[in-house]
Amino acid sequence: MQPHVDSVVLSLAFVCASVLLIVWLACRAIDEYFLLRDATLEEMRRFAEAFIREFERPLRQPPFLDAPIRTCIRARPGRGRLKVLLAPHRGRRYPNLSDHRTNVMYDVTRVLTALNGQPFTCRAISTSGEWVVIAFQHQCQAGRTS
Amino acid sequence: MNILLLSTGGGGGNILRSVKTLFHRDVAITGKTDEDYAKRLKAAVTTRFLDTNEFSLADIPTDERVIIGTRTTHGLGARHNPEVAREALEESRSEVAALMAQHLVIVLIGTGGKGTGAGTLFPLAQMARQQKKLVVPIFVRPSFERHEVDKRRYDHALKVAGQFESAGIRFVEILNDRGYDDSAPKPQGAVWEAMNRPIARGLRGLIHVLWDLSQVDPSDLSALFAGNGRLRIGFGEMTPHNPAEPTSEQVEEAVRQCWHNPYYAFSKPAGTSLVCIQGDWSNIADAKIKSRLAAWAMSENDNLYNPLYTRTDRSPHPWGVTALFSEYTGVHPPLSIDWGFERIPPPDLRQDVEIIERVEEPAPTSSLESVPIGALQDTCPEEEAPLAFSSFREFALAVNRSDPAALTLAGDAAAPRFSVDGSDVMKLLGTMWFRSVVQQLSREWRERILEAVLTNAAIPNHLVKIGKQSIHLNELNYDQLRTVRAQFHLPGAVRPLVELLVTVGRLWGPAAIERFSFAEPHDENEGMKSGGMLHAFRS
Repeated sequence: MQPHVDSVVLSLAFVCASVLLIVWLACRAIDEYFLLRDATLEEMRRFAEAFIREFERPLRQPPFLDAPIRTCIRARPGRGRLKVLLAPHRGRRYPNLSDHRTNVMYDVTRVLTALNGQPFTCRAISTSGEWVVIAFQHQCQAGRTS
Repeated sequence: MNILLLSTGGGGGNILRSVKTLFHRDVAITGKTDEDYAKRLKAAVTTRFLDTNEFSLADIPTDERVIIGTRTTHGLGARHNPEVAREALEESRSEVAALMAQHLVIVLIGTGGKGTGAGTLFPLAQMARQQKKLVVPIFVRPSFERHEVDKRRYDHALKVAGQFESAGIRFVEILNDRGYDDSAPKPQGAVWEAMNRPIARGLRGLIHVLWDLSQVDPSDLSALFAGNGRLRIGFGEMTPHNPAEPTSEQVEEAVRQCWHNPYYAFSKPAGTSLVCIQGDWSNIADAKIKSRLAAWAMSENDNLYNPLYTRTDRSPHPWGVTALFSEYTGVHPPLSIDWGFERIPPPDLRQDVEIIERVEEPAPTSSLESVPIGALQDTCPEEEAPLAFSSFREFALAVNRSDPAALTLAGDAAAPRFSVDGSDVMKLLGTMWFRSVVQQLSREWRERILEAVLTNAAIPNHLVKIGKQSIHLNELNYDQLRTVRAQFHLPGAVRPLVELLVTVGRLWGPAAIERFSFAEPHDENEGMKSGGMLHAFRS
């Protein structure tokens, strides 16, 4: 009777240990995922802010010292994708793609050149309603998503 | 004062064409009433159109064209490239520098659109500054939102504005964006014409002030243009019906037009500003104009606005008020500008004597030339020499109009045959034209005038409140007096005294202020008595 009990205890202990290990590993993986996600998100936020700041700098010249553009950021850190949405502020006409596509493309190139060393590349420029959508891909995560 | 109106590139040329048309019309109208004045005015202003494209100057008289860089561009333009324009200017640098050297004030007009204006405006302004000229750059920032230029060129235009800022050269910046009105669409040509008109009218008013230094104090101009920041030209038209006195509504509207000019980039409060009133109306109307303009300026900030008032009496219609406002960007040392006093030709005694002799004695010229000057003077009996000037004021006026006899006397150390009355001198010191006259007098004359002022005026040693402190007038040095005058509200009795001390300090140097004797004010009315004597210093 004793050996049977021992084997049951051992089995239970093994199962418990395995479950604990799996839970620990899962927790760690989840933690790492969120850490990485937060870090990517922070990196994207910083890049987007720098991009917007440089984009609007020439538009914020005297006497136009108020915000020249409206902005919005959409990020999918898991895929390393970032969308910066820009629209003209009230009373302004830029940026828009209907008659300023070349100027927007020039400005995106100019800003990326000014922010030299950032791990983002421009994937596409499109329109969504009144917004100009500039899509970026995080270079380090480009391989993972493709 | 010689003024050069120099446009660069096609856009600048268009503005200058408008200015030139207005100016020629002015000269023609003035010539009907005062031919001599019109001739001098015309001679004082030169227009030149600088470009890299010969074809854009086809309608300009040959002597007014300045084609630069013919080897670089072959006279075909800068290919929309500011760098090419800059190289073209480098190629023709000596010619342009020689042109600038002949003038004291240089008004540069250019647009930041394509090549020539964008590439040459700032280097031209630098050249003028290096020659210690008073330079007024007028820069037009194009609109990319309205597709006048693409964004790349717009960004370059911003760099040009940035260059002016960092070099500490004040400039006028005009925003083409402001010329569009979606609610009332107009053709491009009409928009530009509508924008050119106020610029041209503003410049016209400035020309009438700047060409004659008796209208404006050179040291004030040095202060006005010092530092970085932008300038704004405003013009408000006022045409009163008979009797020639504008109504309050007309004054209000003209001042509003002058103050609110939407085409300019001007985002800081107005600091030192030149206000020129043109019109044949009473001083009551002048006071209304000054008061309303000050009210507008002080609604932004009541401490910084420092107006310099001038008046041009002989300018033709349209009358009104012209102002050159400067953004307040702090306190800056005045610009070092070569006002060209040394270029005033020294009086030619030989020539004067010959002329007198020819009139009085119809002797052959050859015999006169063989006689030494001293001998000629000896032969003139003293009692027969005409008394050219009966008073000091008359003499000063003659110096101001460059009368040869007055200039001879002004350069002479000998005592005059008329008395120099201190109260006369103090009245004259309150006028701007007299301050330029003082600069032309010999050291002995200047000392003589100062002595007259010193013996005439015992300054009541009033207490001046500066913030929470109270300081006697005799404890303030020149710089402090200037600050007090510019930044603090002074009682009516004290302000003329401070104005007098500052004027003496400016013309004779800060040490001259220490030579004044100060007396304790016996009662509050003492200041008022002195104020009566110093009424010329009241603005």
